[in-house]
Amino acid sequence: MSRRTQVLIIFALALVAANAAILSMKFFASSRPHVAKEHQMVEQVLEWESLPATPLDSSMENLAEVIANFPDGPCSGEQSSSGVPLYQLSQQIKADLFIAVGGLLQCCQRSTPEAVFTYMETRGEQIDPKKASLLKDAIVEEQYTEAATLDSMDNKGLFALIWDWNRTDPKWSAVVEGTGSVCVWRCRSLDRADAATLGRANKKLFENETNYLHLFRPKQTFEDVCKSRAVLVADVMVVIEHDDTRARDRSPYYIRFWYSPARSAWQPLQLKLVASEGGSDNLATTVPRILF
Amino acid sequence: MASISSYSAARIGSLMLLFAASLAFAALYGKVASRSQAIALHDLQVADVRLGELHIGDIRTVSTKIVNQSEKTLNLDAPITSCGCISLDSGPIALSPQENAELTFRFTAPMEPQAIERLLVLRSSDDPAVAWTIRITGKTTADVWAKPARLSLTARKGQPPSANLLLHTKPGVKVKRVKSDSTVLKLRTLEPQKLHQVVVVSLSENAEPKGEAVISVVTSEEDKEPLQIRVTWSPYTKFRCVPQALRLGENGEARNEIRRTVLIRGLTGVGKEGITCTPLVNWIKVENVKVSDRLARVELNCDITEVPPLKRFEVLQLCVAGDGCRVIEAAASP
Repeated sequence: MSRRTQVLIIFALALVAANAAILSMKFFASSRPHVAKEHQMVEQVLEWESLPATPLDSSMENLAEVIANFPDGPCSGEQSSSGVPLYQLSQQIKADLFIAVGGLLQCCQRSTPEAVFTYMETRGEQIDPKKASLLKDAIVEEQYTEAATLDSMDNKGLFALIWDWNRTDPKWSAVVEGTGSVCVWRCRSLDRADAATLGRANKKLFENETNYLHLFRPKQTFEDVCKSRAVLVADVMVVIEHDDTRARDRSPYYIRFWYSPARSAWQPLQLKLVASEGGSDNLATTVPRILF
Repeated sequence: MASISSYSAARIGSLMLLFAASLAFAALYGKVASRSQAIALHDLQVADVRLGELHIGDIRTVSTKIVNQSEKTLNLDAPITSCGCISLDSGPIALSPQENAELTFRFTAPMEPQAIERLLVLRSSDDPAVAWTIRITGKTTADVWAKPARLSLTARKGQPPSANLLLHTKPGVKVKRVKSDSTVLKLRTLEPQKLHQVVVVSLSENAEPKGEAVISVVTSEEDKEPLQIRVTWSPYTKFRCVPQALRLGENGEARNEIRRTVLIRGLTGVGKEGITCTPLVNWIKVENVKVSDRLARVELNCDITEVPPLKRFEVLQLCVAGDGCRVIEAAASP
């Protein structure tokens, strides 16, 4: 038998074996015993409960260090093909990302409208007039205050009123170490950055999600930039320990930032909670209320 | 000449080998693919359900016919619904060729006027890619409706709970009276607006820790039934459970020995003796309770062999000393 024939036989056998392996995996996957979702849920919660947590009222350096230790990705789903490893980012872009994340965590922990408003100002964001107008209508409809009072307010006062009306209280206390992740990716179309693409795996496991309203916007919005060019986006997952009023419950939050080339800074875009309770029963009345 | 013939032989040999490999691949692939092709030949006749006009909160029992129009027996999973407003007791269905079956379900109309578009999905047990959809359409109407449609208040120490109800009315309809059947509920009606009115509902300090009441809303159309809004209240419990509800017997899980763990989170200074686990049904047993730091692990063993599928049961009450109780529900899958 010539050498060529031998190579061909090996190649053919390898081809058959590979196909058999792939198809049998596919075929037997459906008949494999199912691991109950509740077991996975319990195991995940136990893992989060066993880890140390850094209080959110500690120094920004401390927090930035915890965030800097988050593993780089891996990006999943649609983001995986356009992932950008953290080491490829410049020091300045990376440092600003950690400060942007840490700042948001701290202002949510402070739980005052002033803290959130100031954070947004430092990120170059102002109240979005369109969203504010919708909220004003709802506030007037509920007779919480009169239209004339709302119209006479400046942005800071208006935000404080919306904060109270919304009964905003994030109840954040600490960030659980060793649980977060950062996935930086290049977004080439708006639908890729849909909020539904955030935190899919845990949403599937715990069967709930709460998307929070981002009431602010920078001068040049994500939508404006994304129409004309690819935009750097960072999906950050943090497991937050809540305060005593929420029984120190630890749940994952997903924060999406985008990098504004005009401001050379990361801008907050979306915030999502997947409550680690399993199921959505009574969730509307129990999830922390956040405005950002 | 010899070199040409040996080259041809090698080429023919390699082609034959490749052909054999392709055949083997096709045979393996065919073994898997033939299943879906066979199922695709099955044909189930389904009919959409038109509910017409319903009053908000109406409950209708509806039947729809399904017919197996194929030449083979059709195995269907228990029907899947697009919302909790459809309840049906049906488990898996097997239909012989040309056999038909009545699918009966209970539909609860939404609590505000809107177009109804819901789905009932029947999936082949033999191939998850094959499914049939029954569309359920209609609309709800009302002279007056409330947002939220029911209230659930949580009483904390020193903080009597309160919440706002927004009453919406159809043009030309006015709210005449809002009253409660319980003296512990205080109602304060704010000035009516064009098409809505705000009612502030609060609980008096002498209310029992747990209870329920009904608020009735009478409109200017006196002959119509008043709108009823259920209000429940319960004490605030600090601890939380994971999961809040159990799903048992899914994906062929053994029905007589299902093991589950429920975590109690948010414990502070509570030992094992401070935790009470009371099964509320006889088919669930607490095997072990382990307490560590702020967590308790309650290990359960469930036997759902005789339990009807798809219903939700209250199965376990978990109490923590000085911090109230929570009830865990479970649903059994077919």
